[in-house]
Amino acid sequence: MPEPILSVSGLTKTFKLRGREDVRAVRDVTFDLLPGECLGLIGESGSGKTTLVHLITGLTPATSGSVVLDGLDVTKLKGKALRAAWKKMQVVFQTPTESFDPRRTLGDGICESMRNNGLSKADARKRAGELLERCGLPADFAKRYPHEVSGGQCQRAAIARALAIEPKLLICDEATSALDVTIQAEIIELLRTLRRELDMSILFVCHDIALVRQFCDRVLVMYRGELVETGVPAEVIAEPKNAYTRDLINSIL
Amino acid sequence: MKEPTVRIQKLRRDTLKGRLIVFSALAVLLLLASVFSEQLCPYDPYAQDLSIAKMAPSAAHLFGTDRYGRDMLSRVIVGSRTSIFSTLLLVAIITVIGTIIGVFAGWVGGAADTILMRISDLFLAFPGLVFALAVAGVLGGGLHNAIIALAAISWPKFARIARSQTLAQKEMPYFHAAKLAGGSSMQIIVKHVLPNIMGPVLVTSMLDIGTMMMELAGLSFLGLGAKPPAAEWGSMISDTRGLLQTAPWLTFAPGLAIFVSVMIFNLLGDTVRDYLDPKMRGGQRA
Repeated sequence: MPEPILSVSGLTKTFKLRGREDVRAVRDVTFDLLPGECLGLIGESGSGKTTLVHLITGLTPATSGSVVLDGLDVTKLKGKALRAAWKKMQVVFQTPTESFDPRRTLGDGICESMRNNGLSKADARKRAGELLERCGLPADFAKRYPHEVSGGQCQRAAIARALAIEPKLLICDEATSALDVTIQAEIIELLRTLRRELDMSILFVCHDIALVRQFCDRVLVMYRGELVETGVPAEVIAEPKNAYTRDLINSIL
Repeated sequence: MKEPTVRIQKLRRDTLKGRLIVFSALAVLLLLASVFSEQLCPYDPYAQDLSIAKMAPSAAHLFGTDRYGRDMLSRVIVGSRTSIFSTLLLVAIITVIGTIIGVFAGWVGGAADTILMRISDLFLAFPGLVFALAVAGVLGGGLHNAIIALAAISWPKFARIARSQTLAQKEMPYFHAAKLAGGSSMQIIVKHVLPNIMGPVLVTSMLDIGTMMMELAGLSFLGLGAKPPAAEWGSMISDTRGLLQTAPWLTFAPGLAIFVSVMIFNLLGDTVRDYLDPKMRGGQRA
């Protein structure tokens, strides 16, 4: 078995609230993500999916547990070292328009990571154009502002931005949830192509089981902050072992 | 409430634009008048001529003359320089200081945030002018000290706005994206946070110009601001209030000047706020 690119073990996040009981948003989550694998993560709203993503990226500090990305424990990193780790993983967010600074062009947003990693302005601009084209948009979309393009187009630009520094791990946090079904299919197709061409691993967070079945090699089911089931999507759907998974599947299919 | 029709929205937008143009023009006119005040004065504002002291308004002296025979119109015009520019300087100072403190508190969070915000609560709970009086009393009179005194008590409002706006930005996906792009804190603050919080901060400072002008004039009136013979509206009112019974126009002229300029800046502030409010502006840009 190959060495996993991402290895999460015992990851826990507890939010302390004044005067009320603590909220255990993520409890003792453990899983591995293999190179080139596309791993689905499903669960209802509030099950802790987005918190888990924030913990994996290190945007939110974990209460306990470890997130080992390519040999480095992200939960132990700070400042410069953490920023270096972000060169290996990027996130595509749920709300495409809000994931770009409203006062800057899409091109500025795509160039930002490249500029921060020492590329010249001209080189970054040129590559931003290529990335946009690769993601199915004309290169001159770089000059547009987020409110001037549609949600689907904006999400393509967000994928272009995530690819700019060639991450080993791409996390899609409900990246297709805010889009129309037809646009959703296009974005999935784009991700499929990119994954094949760039040999990336993908963590695909979603609440749509049908989408996960089409797209993912393996699926994790999350319920109330815990992983309740893991397996190949078709098997999990056909024979759910966990009562919650059964409910989730019955509610959709 | 029923949604206004498109036509009414457009009409509102048009009148709003009109208001914006009119009030900006008036404010610019006021600023130009104070920049070129020396050229605009019909008489030397400091030349005394006791033979024409305390003259009622006439064609030669539109606002009359004071007890030393100085032309009141000229003094009001020259006074605009002190009054308006010291106000603008004061507002600029508190905007910058308040924004820096607020963004810092919102960005860092934790104990630093709590301490800074409790300090600002303290200042907000204290009657402003009384504190300014105390500071000006300790530092001594003079326009510089009046500005320092007012700046010392007026920054918390800006700190609070900048902080809450910064906190809001920190929750936005684009903020997370900017972090993941590997920028340093300073880069993210300068490139993303400041431009996105500037709108509300600037509107607040526009609305504060009028208040600050009054407070500065108030301190001068109490003898803690500009010193005679320098022409400053607040101190001019204070100077002439003993003659209110015999020569009311002396108090009236600088009072009117304060009233008109405070009004212009307040209306301009209101209009800018409405203009920047996406709900009032309609259209595609939210």
